[in-house]
Amino acid sequence: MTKSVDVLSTLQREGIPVSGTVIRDSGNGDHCFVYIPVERNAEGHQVPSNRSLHRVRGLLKEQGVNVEFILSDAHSQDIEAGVRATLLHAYGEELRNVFLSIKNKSAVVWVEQKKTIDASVRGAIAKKSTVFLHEVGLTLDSLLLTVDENLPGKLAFLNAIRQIAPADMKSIKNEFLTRGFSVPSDDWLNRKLDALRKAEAIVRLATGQYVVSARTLDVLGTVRAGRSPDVSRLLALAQKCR
Amino acid sequence: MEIVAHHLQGVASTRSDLIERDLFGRSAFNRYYYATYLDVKEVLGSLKAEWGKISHGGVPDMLTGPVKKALVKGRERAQRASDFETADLCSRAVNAIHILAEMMTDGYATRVAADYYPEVKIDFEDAYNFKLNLVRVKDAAEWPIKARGLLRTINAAWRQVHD
Repeated sequence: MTKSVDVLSTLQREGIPVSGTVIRDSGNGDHCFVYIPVERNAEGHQVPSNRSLHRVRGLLKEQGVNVEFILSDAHSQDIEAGVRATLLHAYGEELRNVFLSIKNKSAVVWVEQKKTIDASVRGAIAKKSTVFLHEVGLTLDSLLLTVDENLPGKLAFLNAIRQIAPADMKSIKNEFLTRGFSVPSDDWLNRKLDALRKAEAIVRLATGQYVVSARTLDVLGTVRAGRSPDVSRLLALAQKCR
Repeated sequence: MEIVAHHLQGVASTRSDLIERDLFGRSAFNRYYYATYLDVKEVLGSLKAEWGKISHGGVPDMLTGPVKKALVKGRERAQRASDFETADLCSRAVNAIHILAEMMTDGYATRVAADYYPEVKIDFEDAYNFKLNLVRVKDAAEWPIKARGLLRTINAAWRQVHD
């Protein structure tokens, strides 16, 4: 426990407030956690500052102790609870949960949707968040949605087609399902493939099968490793030739 | 496991015996952490089998190391392919990684305190939102819920960029 005492006395000497005791990592003896209650001064800056915490962490590292500070800002937690209550009250039909991540004086609001929300509702949520955060001296950095939809995007299309080309629509659909994506309908898939073809990202062969264009191959690039897409492609070809 | 944590939280809040409520309270923190850890471990294992064997203390570094690196690379590829939706999703996932890593560090430290530091007593000043060190039980109850939302975002981005 000598090291714990050293940590506490160093923190005390440096004027860093500590809550509770030094918690040693049960899996790694040189690593420990210290809870630091942080507050805001009149200018809204964090006390103790990240700079002073960083410096003390360096001092402790020189003494052979790797300390992780866990900052607890009761004020931030209250703000998060406030934003959550405000948004869930106003958009209870659309939102399942709301949480906040605060850095310096700006905040990122994360919302978990119950159903897909349109741009106007998203804008209204951002506006309401901005008003609330302004009242507590913060600005809204961004409003982010956690993701529920699971449709393949353009890159996913190109990756899949590169691997299994030449591939017809049925094989592409199966490849997506294997990769854990949803495919709403054949018509949806057809329209997506058509758009990619018009953008010259893929080519439709006379057989009705699709391959990626030379430009796409260049854009996607490759890696020299066991998980190289070229290796996957070779394996997929070998499987086809069986 | 969350349901067990919730039950323990309820028991701790209403027990009159000081020793017993402390025991139930610290077990509630432990279970909330484990519920979160198991979800994270499962998703990491689905991204790459060997990542599913990650130890508790290694989770934050794993997230901010190889998982983030892969998604940053994926974002660059998506941008090169003019897939800006996927690039935006990767940015959200990277943001999610940082929040999740920080939360897992807090959770792990709280669980170690709950399990191995009986001398750090639970503060029951607010019996329905008691605290261990500075962590309130209602915040701990949010860990699994938040983690699932963040993991969904990370998983969705991974699936889009993974070859």
